[in-house]
Amino acid sequence: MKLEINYYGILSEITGQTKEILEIENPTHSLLLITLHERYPQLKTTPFKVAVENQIIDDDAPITNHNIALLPPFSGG
Amino acid sequence: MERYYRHIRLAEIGLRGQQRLSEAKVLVVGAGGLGCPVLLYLAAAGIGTLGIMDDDVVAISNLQRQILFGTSDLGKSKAMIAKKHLIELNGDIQINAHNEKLNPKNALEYIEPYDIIVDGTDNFEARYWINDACILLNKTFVYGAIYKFEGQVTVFNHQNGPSYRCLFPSPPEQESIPNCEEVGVLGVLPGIIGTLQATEVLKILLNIGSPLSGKLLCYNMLTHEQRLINLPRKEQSIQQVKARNALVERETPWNCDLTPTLKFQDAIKKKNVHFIDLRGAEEQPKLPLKPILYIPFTELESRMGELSKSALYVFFCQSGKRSKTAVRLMQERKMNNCFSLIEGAPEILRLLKQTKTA
Repeated sequence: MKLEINYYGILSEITGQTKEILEIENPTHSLLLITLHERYPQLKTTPFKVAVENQIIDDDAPITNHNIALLPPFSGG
Repeated sequence: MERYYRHIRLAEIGLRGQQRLSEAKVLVVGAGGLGCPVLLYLAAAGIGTLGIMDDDVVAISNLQRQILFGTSDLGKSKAMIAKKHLIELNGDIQINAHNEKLNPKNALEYIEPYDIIVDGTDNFEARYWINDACILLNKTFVYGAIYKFEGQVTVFNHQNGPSYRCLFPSPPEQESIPNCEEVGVLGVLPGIIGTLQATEVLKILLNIGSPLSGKLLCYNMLTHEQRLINLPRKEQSIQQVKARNALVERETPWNCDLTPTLKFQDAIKKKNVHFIDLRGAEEQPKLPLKPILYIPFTELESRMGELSKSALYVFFCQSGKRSKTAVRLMQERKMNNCFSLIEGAPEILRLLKQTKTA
């Protein structure tokens, strides 16, 4: 399945882009994390939430839509 | 009332709506990049009681975005100067300047008298204190946060909506997400995000439109792209705060601790394992493990040369804290063959005795 990954905040700096297409077979939350950690080891120590079609999903949930957003917390004010 | 004529002209507000604003009590925590526009618009709108909480003084690097302050205010209390300028803008409202830093001891007391709390802070600690205090006191929490050219806005704890902990259960390690001071910020960004926060306060008080409760607005000023993320309420996260019934001074960071750890029972099954006791000579009990090296934690850095990259090192101490720090230190030195035992020495001894009797 082709996934469009949208990177927010510091994640776009770590990955060097605001979005990219990744192909993952039978994607789940954890499969996506494994793929991302392999590509960008720095993501292992960066907290973020995964949203699929603008819904936050929890660990191990299957991914059934291509529209993914990765959201880190912001602290600036 | 002539001051508010443009509000009153709006059929959606009218005299009744303006009256509601004049009866409202709003506390803005942090009079910085976000707090300044929030305060200016809320004071102009005629919020009856407006609190400003900030213990900082005006610095020259603030003036690029903190639009309540001027060059002659340098070195002066932000809360006091903000109050002075806001009285000049609108003398008909009550403005309370609290020249104090929010902390777990004073948060409940300061937040209690207000209806809505606006987050203009610049650190995770304070955001979680505000969040938890709002849960405990049943206050609406208008959240905003920024990063370089992006912002997040939402309304937490509003009419059984989600809280900050439903999105991010506990704070990340501060160093994993830099703040504006560290990475910089385009001055107008907190202006946009703060203005959106002020908008949410007014919408809630006037009961117009749909507030961003249960929705996280992600805004990118470089593209003007916006995304609305649905945030479900997680009852468990909220009940945990209620059960604790107090604010947490220091929390274990979320999602970030990836120090390689092993359980003792798994460690002894591995090949070529060397145990390293990080405790001082006086610490008891000593453990009958072989092979074992005694390297007190304080000597670790100077004695790293004794360790080879081909062996597997398993660190332990009395509680498991020093061993975790040690493994992180080793990782920084590219020694990736090190693990921290979850158990401390007394627990390991108990497990050893169990294994022998089994």
